[in-house]
Amino acid sequence: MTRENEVTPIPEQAEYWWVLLRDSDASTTDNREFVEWMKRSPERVEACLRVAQVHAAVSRADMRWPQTSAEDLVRAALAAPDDSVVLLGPHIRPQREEERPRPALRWAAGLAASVLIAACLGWWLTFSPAEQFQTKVGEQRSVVLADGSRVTLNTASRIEVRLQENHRVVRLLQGEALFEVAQDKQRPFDVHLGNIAVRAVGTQFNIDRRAARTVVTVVEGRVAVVAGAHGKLPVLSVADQVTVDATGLSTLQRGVNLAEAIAWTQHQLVFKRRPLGEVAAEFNRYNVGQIEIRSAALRAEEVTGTFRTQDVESFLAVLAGIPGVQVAADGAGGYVVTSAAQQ
Amino acid sequence: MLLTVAMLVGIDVACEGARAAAPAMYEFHIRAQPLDAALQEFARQSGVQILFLSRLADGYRSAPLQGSYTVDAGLRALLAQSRLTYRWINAKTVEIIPLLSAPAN
Repeated sequence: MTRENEVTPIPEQAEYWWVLLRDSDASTTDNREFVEWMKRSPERVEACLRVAQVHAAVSRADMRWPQTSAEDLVRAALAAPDDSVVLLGPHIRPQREEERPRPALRWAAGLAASVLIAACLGWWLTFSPAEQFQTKVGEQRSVVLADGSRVTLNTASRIEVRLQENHRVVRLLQGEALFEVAQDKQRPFDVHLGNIAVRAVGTQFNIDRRAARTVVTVVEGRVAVVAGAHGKLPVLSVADQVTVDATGLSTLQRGVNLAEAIAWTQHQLVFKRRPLGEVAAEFNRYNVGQIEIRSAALRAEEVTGTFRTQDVESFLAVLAGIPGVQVAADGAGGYVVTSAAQQ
Repeated sequence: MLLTVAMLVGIDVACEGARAAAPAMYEFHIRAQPLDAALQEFARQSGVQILFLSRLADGYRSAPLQGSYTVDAGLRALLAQSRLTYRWINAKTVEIIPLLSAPAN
């Protein structure tokens, strides 16, 4: 197959290389072809840096993460002297001088590529195989990782874990998890999800990943967060909570109620001043039988309370007691809530 | 007002069968705080499920609740300084409601 497909957008080609080179079977030829591919244009270098920025940069203890942006890396590469040493990592044989193509107009891109390779490639290549853990709807599960850290998965959640000598990387692929990180200053603990990366040394934090937003809550210690458009956010400490929306915009809230944030680990839903519609949606995360509230006015009512995550019946019984409100089975295991004053 | 009290008693009696004959006692340690937070804490310490419209608790603070109480006695104490009361929805769930709009036929 050809890897020089010019129809494929460059960012996608960069992704392709990312996946290929993370494979532990990637050959020396693959590495060299990657370098050749990338050297052709600064756009390619930048695309690679962007792919690598969150995933790779945060996973290297010796990178000045997260201060180093892709733009900075490109700038540093362009400003570097022509004879910069190219460090290609353990799997790449150094090229001999006569083999090295050095078209004058391409040296800058080549250097930027070197920076990328030095920073990231070693990490891509030495990546250990990942372990995956997941839960079904309504299920919760705690796993103790080989480093002593504990990850508790909430309902319908999935993580991928890679523990290495110099760093620990967990990808939160779906759902919510509480991370209780075993202290190890030599091995940063990173959680990646979408365009967000969270780093901790020895701490406890909760990440709730949804389609529309992700919420990171610090339960103990301190964590650093890199999120989408903002890049690095101020370091978070206990009871800080940052919410990142789908566009990468984030908002910080201090002094949140931690018992509430991790009530799910006790199979509890604890909500304060939340629209009834959101509370119903919370129940829907934990239960196969879904609640649908058809009245917009009812969905907007702000409620406060505490429930077992799986006691939908009691929750519906309260709703059914509201004058004018009807609760009916939808015939498919779910429930429809209507109001006489429906709008 | 009399009707309200009568209705509450009626509901309590109706639910009596569902609960244990000798009402369970719980050890509560709840400091004085905004009423909504105190009710959440009460739910946590007793295991009872609670739901209410947030605005009902606006402006109320609770007195501290320390010591051994049944759920009913504890709730009455927490709500004593408010114009709120509660009703049992089932054996493990209560709803906090306004004192004056307690169910009437």
